[in-house]
Amino acid sequence: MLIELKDICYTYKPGTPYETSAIQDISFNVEEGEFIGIIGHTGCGKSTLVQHLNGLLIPSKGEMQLDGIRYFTQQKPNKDLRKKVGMVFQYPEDQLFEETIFDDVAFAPKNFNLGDGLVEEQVRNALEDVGLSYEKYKDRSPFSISGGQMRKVAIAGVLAAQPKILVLDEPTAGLDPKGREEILSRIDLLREKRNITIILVSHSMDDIAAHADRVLVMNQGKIVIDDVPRKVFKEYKQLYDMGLDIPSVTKLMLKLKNKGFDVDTEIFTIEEAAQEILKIKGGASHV
Amino acid sequence: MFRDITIGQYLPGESFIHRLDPRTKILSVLFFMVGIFGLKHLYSYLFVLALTLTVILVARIPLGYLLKGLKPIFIILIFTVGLHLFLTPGQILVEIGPLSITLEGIMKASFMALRLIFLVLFASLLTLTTAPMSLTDGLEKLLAPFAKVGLPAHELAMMMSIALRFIPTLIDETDKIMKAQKARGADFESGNIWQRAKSMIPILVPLFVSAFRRADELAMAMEARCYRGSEGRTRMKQLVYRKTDLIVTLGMGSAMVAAFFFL
Ligand SMILES: Nc1ncnc2c1ncn2[C@@H]1O[C@H](COP(=O)(O)OP(=O)(O)OP(=O)(O)O)[C@@H](O)[C@H]1O
Ligand SMILES: [Mg+2]
Repeated sequence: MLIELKDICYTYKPGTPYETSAIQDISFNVEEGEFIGIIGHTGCGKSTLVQHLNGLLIPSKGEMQLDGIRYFTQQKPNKDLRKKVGMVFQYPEDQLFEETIFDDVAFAPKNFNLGDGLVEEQVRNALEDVGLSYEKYKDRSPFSISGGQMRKVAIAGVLAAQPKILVLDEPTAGLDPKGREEILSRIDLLREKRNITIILVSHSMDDIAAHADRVLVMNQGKIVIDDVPRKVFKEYKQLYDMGLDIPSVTKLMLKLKNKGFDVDTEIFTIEEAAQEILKIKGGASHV
Repeated sequence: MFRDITIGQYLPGESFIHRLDPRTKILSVLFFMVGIFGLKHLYSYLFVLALTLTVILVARIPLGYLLKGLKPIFIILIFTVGLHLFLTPGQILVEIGPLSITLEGIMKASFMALRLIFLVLFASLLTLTTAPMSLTDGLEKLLAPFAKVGLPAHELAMMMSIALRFIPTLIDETDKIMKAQKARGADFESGNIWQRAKSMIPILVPLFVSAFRRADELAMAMEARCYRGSEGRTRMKQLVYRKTDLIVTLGMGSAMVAAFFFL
């Protein structure tokens, strides 16, 4: 087991009139190499939850075991934990600050004390991993490129520290469909190449259905479903009640079914849907 | 750490103090400030304490929350108390090496500390019980007579309301950027002063970038809605000065005048 969270609770501004209990009794496990999706309505505590994974927030109660070390109760979160768990925040381009893209991407590896020769290697790899040419971009200012490219540079800035676990909090918010798919497929690629464990927070059910092995559904600070996408999206009535959606292809299949076509509704990707539709079309033409 | 700041925050409520006209409250704070500088005896502060406690009780502000707001001025407090304690000449009580504490020093230091604490407490009560928008409306109205002699009353009030509106936003933003840089291994807590100052760069640059962007967007949005200053501008919520407001203002004014001269 790579990560094991036990009964994590977190309260913002305890002891003030603005006290909010953001998450309560969160427990779940993550295996090495898994791709976990986290979904939930706005304000249900997703960002709060993931910030515990690298110790940015200290829970008011609970314990986390990560890579064999027990944090919060035995060991205080330290740089070692931050290096192991890379965190890409919502709108990560807001964290760029250096004069050149090279320096910005090198910020994390330098802070984590990688050797100088290694730093250049890491920056080159990280930039190529997000699909930016090292030679072309390294000397440019991070403020002189487009928003989508800034996003990639910011993600490279996290990858450069070579994390074992990569947490992404809505990495595709505000991007066009092509930009979204590019970032997600690059993440898939990274996972294959380096066997990184991925935890992705997203509002897009399509993205989650297409990429995650397992989905955690959160509602009002609690995990209410923890299962494979197939099983999760089968509970579409429960999801609708929580203000969540289901993948658009699944919606299409449900509509077809309602119209009287005999299709499988447990379908989450466009390829599967195309197969299924061809099957009934083929069936119909035989009759 | 930025989240402890309570000065300038507003705690919505329905109490008598909350419902007073902002002008009444601003004037009362002004009277209070003047009055408190005229106090001549330590026991006079009992009167100030009673007044402050009454306001706190009537406004139903949690005392702990209010006291937490004193944290940011703690360093200033220590500094002023220290200076007065050691640098006032007079009857020497204790000598520690080259430093000496005098009776006059102790008196002066306690006066300064009490003044500072009560000023901050009372000013916090103003912002805690008054919505930022009505606070600036009140200020604009109070300054309006001076507009005739060229004081840009409306512009000042507008600047203030924008600043108040963006303080929480900037605090959130700072918090977020700090977390993001910490996640990349930045360390703000160790090292000497120079290293610590340098470690602020990764926070300050993004903060300024976003502040300028926000300012730009705000200016654009205001212009798109035909904002062109105070002339001919009407309000949805008119301030009304009631009889109770008059009574409170006069009461507070005379109490503080009395305190200034007789306590
Ligand atoms: N810094 C903060 N101070 C006080 N309360 C907060 C703070 N950050 C979040 N909260 C509260 O905690 C709860 C959970 O917030 P969180 O940001 O974790 O939600 P989220 O699931 O990430 O939402 P979104 O999908 O909008 O990003 C919300 O009710 C929010 O109002
Ligand atoms: Mg969030």
